[in-house]
Amino acid sequence: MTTLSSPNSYVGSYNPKGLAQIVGFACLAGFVVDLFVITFPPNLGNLQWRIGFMQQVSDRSIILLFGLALIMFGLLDFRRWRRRLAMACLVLGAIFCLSSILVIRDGITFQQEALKNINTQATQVQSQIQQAKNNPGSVPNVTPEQLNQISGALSNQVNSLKENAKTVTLRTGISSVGNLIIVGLAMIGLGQYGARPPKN
Amino acid sequence: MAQSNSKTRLELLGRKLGKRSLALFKTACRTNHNRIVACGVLVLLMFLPAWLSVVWQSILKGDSGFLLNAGFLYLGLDRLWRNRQQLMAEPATEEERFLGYFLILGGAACFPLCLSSVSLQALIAMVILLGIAICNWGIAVVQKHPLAIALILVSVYPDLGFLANRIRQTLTGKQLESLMAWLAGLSFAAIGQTVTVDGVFLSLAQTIDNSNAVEVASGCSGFDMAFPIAGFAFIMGMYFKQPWQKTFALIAIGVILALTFNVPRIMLLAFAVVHWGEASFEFWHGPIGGQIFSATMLTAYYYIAMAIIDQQPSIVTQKAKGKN
Repeated sequence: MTTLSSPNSYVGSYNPKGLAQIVGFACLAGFVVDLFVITFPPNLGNLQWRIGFMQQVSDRSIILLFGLALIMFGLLDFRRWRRRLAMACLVLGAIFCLSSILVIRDGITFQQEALKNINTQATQVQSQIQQAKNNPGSVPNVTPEQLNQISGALSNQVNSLKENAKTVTLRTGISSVGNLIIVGLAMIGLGQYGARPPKN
Repeated sequence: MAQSNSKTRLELLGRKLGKRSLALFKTACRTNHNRIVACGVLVLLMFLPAWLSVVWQSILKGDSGFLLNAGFLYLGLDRLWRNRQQLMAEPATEEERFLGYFLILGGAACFPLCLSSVSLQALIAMVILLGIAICNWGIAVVQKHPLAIALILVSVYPDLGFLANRIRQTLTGKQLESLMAWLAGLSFAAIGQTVTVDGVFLSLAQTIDNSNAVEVASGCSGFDMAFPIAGFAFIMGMYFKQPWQKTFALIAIGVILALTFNVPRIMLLAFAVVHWGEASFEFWHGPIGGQIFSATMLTAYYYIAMAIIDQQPSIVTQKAKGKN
């Protein structure tokens, strides 16, 4: 059984800023390595690549925020570096917020393409069923009632596939956009704090 | 003679407008700050036709959504205007100006990429408006007047009802529709009718098939009625400067009334389908039937809302009465 009689004086004798810098730079380096891996080879024209890229960036963005906050804490006493970092945070925050609009745009386009694909495939199968109905001899073992059943089942399946596609794209979109906006706003806050830190 | 008179007046007006716009253009080009803000305003002006066309289409459909936009915009601007001296007293710092410029220019750069969707253009307009506010009055304007800023930003989106309904459908699926079908089923059972409910389908028979079932679709869920009522209740609460509890009560009662009045509507439509035929269903489902239901509901709501607002007269009205 030991007790710390005066913890404040105990902690106060060390400077925790060096520790914050180490962890902060490690987080930042980890983010940069991840970013490097997911960026190369870049394929900006490809919609799916863009969506995957932004999703991964938004998933990892919290590490970037954490790292920058720790570095900011470590650099609080260095006015020049602190202001530079604050500016970088403001720019990064604004980029994150703006990129969320592009993520929504890509999400909408992707959803429309997915629905269009489902529709084209469904129309093809329906036209095949219609052909089989018009020429009963072409498929000897299938009755018209069975064809009607298949047609009904197909339209049900198409509807559920469409609903599923809509829900999945919306949910992933909302999660990426939410992350990007929250981290973006937090970075803007961090930048504002770093530019003029409040004093005790 | 009269014609030449009006012609000269028009010419004068044209000259005045020309001078004013030239002066405005010169002011816009004077400093970098003005140039960047003018760039943002230009993008907002480019968005205006798309916004107006969506609002006009919704007015033609008989939608009251634009009133929500107008109400939110008025409330937001009014709050900022009343605090204008405090806003002017605290100009933006260098970093805040930089952030504002970045948001304006970034939004302007993204605008050409989003011409296909009015919703995205509205989002960009929000970012630009935020940028203009931040580069003039700093982030403090968002921190000190979050409600005013949120109201102005929300009013930029041209079809709020559509957006809210899409969000509801994504988050809850068809739960509201199923709830409505279930409540209508309970009401039918209470008046002694045979009824079967399966999810969003309601049938006045033991089984559900296409001939006797009614589907409670998204438009019949009552949400389209509940959302504007909640919006107007909020605007009313803010306009009459009601305390938050009363505003919340106004919203909650509006939503509950809209959803409650939707149950007899669904019951009537189910009756119409099964017993009275297609023409009767079309009548009750169409604009006239809809108007009858909304008029009944709004009458009930008016009396309840006014009772809530007048419940405890505010100090100002008491004073006014005392003076009289």
